[in-house]
Amino acid sequence: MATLFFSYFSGVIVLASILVVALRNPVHSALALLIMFFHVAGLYITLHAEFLAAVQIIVYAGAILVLYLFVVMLLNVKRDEHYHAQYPLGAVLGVTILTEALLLIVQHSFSKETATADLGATDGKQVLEGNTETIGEALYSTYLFSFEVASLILLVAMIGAIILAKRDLFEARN
Amino acid sequence: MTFSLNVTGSDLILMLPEIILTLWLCGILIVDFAMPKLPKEQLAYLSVCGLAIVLANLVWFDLEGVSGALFANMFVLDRMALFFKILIVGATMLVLLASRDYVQRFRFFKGEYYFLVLMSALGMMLMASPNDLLSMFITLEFSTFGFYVLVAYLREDAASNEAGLKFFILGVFAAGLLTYGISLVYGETGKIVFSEIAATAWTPGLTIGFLLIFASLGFKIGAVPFHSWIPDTYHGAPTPITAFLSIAPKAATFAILVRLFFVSLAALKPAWVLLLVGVSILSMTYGNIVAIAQKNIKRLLAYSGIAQIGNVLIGLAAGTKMGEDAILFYLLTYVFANVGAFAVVIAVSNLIRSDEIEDYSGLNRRSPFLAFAMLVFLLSLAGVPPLAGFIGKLYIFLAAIKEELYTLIMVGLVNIVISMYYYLIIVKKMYINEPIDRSPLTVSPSMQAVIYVGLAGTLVLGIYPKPFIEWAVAATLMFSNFAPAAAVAPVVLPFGG
Repeated sequence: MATLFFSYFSGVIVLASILVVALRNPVHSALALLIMFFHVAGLYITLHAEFLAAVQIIVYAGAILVLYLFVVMLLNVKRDEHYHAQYPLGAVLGVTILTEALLLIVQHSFSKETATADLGATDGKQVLEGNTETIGEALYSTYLFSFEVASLILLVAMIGAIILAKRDLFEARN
Repeated sequence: MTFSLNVTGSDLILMLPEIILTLWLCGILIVDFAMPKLPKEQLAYLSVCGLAIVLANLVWFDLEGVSGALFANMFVLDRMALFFKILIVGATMLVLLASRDYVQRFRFFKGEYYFLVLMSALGMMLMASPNDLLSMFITLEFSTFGFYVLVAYLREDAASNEAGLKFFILGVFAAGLLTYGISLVYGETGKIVFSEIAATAWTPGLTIGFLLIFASLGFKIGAVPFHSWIPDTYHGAPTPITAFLSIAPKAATFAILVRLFFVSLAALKPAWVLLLVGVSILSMTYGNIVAIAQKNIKRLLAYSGIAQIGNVLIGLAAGTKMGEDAILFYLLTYVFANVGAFAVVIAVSNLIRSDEIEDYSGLNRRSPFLAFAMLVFLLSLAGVPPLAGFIGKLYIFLAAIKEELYTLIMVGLVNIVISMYYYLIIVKKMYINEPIDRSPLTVSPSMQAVIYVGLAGTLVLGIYPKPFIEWAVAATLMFSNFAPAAAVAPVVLPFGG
């Protein structure tokens, strides 16, 4: 069953990734990227990383991709042939990264023993409680300081964005 | 994995200055919003009042010897943190006073300017305290976020927009390097607290991780070869923000650098001394040589700032407690001289709307006060006795001599001579050249106040530096186990409630 899900998700991921670079219309590429993000999230769920899966959908599919689509639509990029001239560079980088990945796989045998040994190293709490609870608990206790400072960062970012972006509105009114 | 939060109300008193400032700046935002009729200058005074309360709080902590650690050792308040917090709050007060007249140039969001300056100050105060990689990253980014907006505040000015964009893109890139470095260090050790990292075995991954972290911190202090953002950003940003950028974030980053090098990397001192010597020599030489060719005073001060950071790095390269004291004292002298010099630039720019060095010709005939103040600040930056900069440079060179870093000292001395040349060119223009426009210049009271504080600090630190040196020495007592010899055992820090 697990193998079935894994081959479905990973197969779609590979296919969608190829479509992202191969499709000529930027909007189609972005939609292919969306499919890819959803299937990566599915892969995370099969690995019991449900928090990561939720973040994947909320942040990548929800925020970053929508931003891409906005840019594509606002700039009105249609069938931009410019980047297709970079195939040679892409091929060189792709082959390099593929070789690295293969080397890693050959050197480390990811057998079941090492996987369970890794799980045993922690006390298995996150397996019992689910990792979302564990992350939440960590954020509100041990890492409270960073968490609170992050909320201040959001306040600065919000006000900063208004100052930088809303000015044109004021100028039009005056 | 168990998580716990053992924080009581009385523990939180360690964060009292930060809490006061947070509440105060939210108050300023509300006042600005709720009272649109209120003249915006009042907000400047309100902000300075808030900072004065925070400063009084910090001085009280320092006198009482309050110290401790919070959140599982992630937030520490020791005398070094207090030293840097006092330095940052003081510099912010001067910058706010110096901004009062300049803010008239902004067409919109004059009130939010003060809010963002205070927010950046809060970020930098927090930067003096983190004791682990996560808080370090968060506070570092927090302080930079306000600056991204402040640098681009002059919307009508293309140079300011360009500066903001360059600063943002390079800053985000540096943040990426920092997170990558942190992830490598965490991946190799499984630890994020500085003192715990020191106890783990060394691996090549850690070397790359720490080099990436150093590159990112080097970006923040603007050391060569991570300086490329400095000239354009300093040039385009509103001048009070340039003054703020040139001192406060650098001082706060040094608080982090000192903790990182003296705590996490204490055992590897022979390796990092070479790295710091190299960066220091590059910064001093590049900054000083390129400064000679500058026609714009803000660019000149930007390059001179790169060179001054090279000088501060000499103290870090010495890697002793004395070097550490020298860094603190040098930064103190640098605050007064640099904020003072920028205050003169702001005053002149408010009056004649120009930052070109050519327009400083005959400044003495037009405003003897401004010319004299600039003379004192430039001589202090160059390191002429009996001004503060001289004692600072002397102290830092002595620390290096004790460590027998003779090459570094030779390069440093040659650089002082080079820097003298371009500082004195400005002095010659101000005193000997004839002015093009002879109309006298009158300086506003708040600018006068800033310049007088700068003058007082530069003279007092130069003539009677003893209490300030003692303050710096006391602030770094926790590093007293750093023997002058190269071999140092891993450190156990006297932290904790």
